[in-house]
This record gives sequence, C-alpha cells and structure tokens, in this order.
Amino acid sequence: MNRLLLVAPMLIFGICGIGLWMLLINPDLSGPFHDDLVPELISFCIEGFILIGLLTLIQHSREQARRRELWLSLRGSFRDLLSCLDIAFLEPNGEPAASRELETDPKVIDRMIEQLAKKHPDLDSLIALRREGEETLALTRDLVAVAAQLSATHMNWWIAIVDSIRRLSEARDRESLEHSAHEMLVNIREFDRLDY
Amino acid sequence: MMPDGSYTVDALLKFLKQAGMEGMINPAVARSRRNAIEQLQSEMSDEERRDLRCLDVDQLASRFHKLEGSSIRVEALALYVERFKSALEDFLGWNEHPASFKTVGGDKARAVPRRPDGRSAISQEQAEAERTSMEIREAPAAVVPIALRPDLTVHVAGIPIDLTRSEAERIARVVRAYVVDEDASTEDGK
Repeated sequence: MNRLLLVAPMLIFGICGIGLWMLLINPDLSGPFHDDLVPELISFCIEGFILIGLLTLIQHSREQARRRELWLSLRGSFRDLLSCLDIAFLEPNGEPAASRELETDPKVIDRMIEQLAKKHPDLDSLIALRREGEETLALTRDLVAVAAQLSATHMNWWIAIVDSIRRLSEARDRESLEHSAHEMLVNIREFDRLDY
Repeated sequence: MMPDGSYTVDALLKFLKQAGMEGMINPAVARSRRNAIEQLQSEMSDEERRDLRCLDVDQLASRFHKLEGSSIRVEALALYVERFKSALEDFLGWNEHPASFKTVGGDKARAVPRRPDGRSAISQEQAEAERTSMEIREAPAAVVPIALRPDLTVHVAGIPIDLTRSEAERIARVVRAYVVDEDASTEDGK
C-alpha cells in the first residue's frame, strides 16, 4: 500500500511532464500559456518526479536494511545449534564452516539435511546438540515478536522452528534427536526461502 | 628432517609442513593442525611463541573471546585446541626422539554412515545402550538409570561411591523382594 502511494504521484508527475513536453514542442501552439507557463510546469513535474523517486528509493533501502538486520538477528540466534551439527558431520581433519556462513548462508542448511540423511552423528554430538537446544530455546522463543515484524508467514515458520528446538531439547534417544534435528533444519530452510 | 633444538611457533609450523611433505604425518592432518595453530596463535604471548614447552593450550583457549572475527563458537574452539595439542605432542616427541618418532594420529570420524538404503545403521542394542548413556550423563551423579525394558528405565538413587559387595547384595535382596514370580503365583492359584 505504501509503495502504491509513492508510485502513484510519480506516475502522475511523469505523465503530466510528458504531456506538457509534447505541448511545448508542438509548433502550432503559441501564446503566453504555451511560452511561459508550460516550461515552468515541466520543470515542476521533473522536480516532483525526482524528489518523490529519490524519497521512495531512500525509504525503500532503509526499510530493506532494517528488515535484513531483523533477519540476521533471527538467523544468528541458532548459529550455535548449527555449529554443533557442523562439527558432528565434520570429516576427519576437515575444517569447520566459517561463523559467517553458519549465520547467513542458506546453503549450509541444505548441506546439513543431506548429511543427516547419509550419516548418524555420534552420541557426544547428539548430547551437545540437545544441550545447545536447551540453551537456545528461551532465546528463540523471545524472538517470535521480532519474526512477527517481518511478516505473519515469517512468524509462523519461526514458531515451527522454536517448536522443533523444543522437541530437540526434550528428546531422550537417538531416533527422536535425529528426527527433531531434521525437522528443525527443514523449518529453517523454509524460513530462509521467505523473502524479507 | 632433523630437529634444530628450536621450540618456537615457527619451528612447529615448519615441522608440520615438512612432516606432511615427507609422509611422517598424514598431509591432511598436518594441514588441519597448521590451520588450528594459525587460528590460535594470535593470542599467544611472546614467551609462548619463543618456547612452546611453557604453553598451556587450554589456558590459551580461555583467553579467546573472538574467533574468525565473530563471537566464540565453543565447538570450533575445542576442535582447534584438540588439534593444537596433538600437534604439540608430536612436535615435542619428534624433538626428543626424532629417530623413533611416531605420530599420535589425526581426528577420528564422528559420524557413522547410514545403510545404503537410508535406514538406520544403529542396532537396537546400541540404541538402548546410548539411551542409558544419555540418561546417565543427564541425571545427577547420584542417580543411576537402568534400562529395564525397551520402554522402561528405572533409576536407583544415592548409591555411595565406596559401595561394598555385601551392601550391593543387600540392595539386590530388597529388589528381589519386589519380584512377582509367575510360576509361584500360578501354583498358588492351583
């Protein structure tokens, strides 16, 4: 709605400016209106078009930056859970993923889902994952309000993520731990797919 | 390659590079250790850099508050610490006895592959043992979980560390008192 309100005046200024320009270049017309007022009106239209366009651009980029910050805050909140999974699936002598990658890169989630389908994490990794789940649960729950600022769909997927983290923290055997970890990853993937 | 009596960080990095190239250490292991040292050496003091024999790797790790420009990831830091320790152990061993040097080895695989059909490769018994192990780690030290049936775990609380055999027998006798002997009850019924 906001965008439409800003685009509509731009359109009006643009169309009026073009119309007036065509009027100005028409050789058949002359008179005080054509010679004095039309050029003034054309410059007014150009100013209006540029000013509104500029404001729209600034407002849009600021809004976009704010939403990205919100998304990063949300996405970074379960970095340690992803870190546990990253270490769990680490090949012998391999390097752990960079922190930045875990915080922002959606490809990490796809890779983890794929690895979870191929391998069982060892017991130590599962216990570390569950403990991390217990610690992260309260934080992610508090962030539901932040997710709601992005959109209702973001909030719904966020609640699904929180719920899967809760199940992870309550799991008492390998099967349920692996299942809830998979569920959490799938929910995060869906959350990542949403535009912000 | 022979030791030159130097115990500096540079000597350690050089040792890992050479050892990897000469096959004394698996090249992948040497590379991962070099990377771990490069990650951790930023917080080392000048004295520690000069003489690694006075370095406490755990203490070094406790000084970190930032890793790769971000807040600490405990798991990653622990991994680097483990690799640094192994590198140090190999380096000190090689410096003392270069002729009989034998590496402590690299990381062990953490994850177990699933079956080719995608089903679980963990047997029922192993899953039970894991469940018990998880409960032991989670429960307070004085509570011992015993996986009695697939869907039932009982907890024995307050067992002293210095439990004697006769005391264990006494506990067993109390538990036996709860047994419902199916054969005996059937005979009584008759």
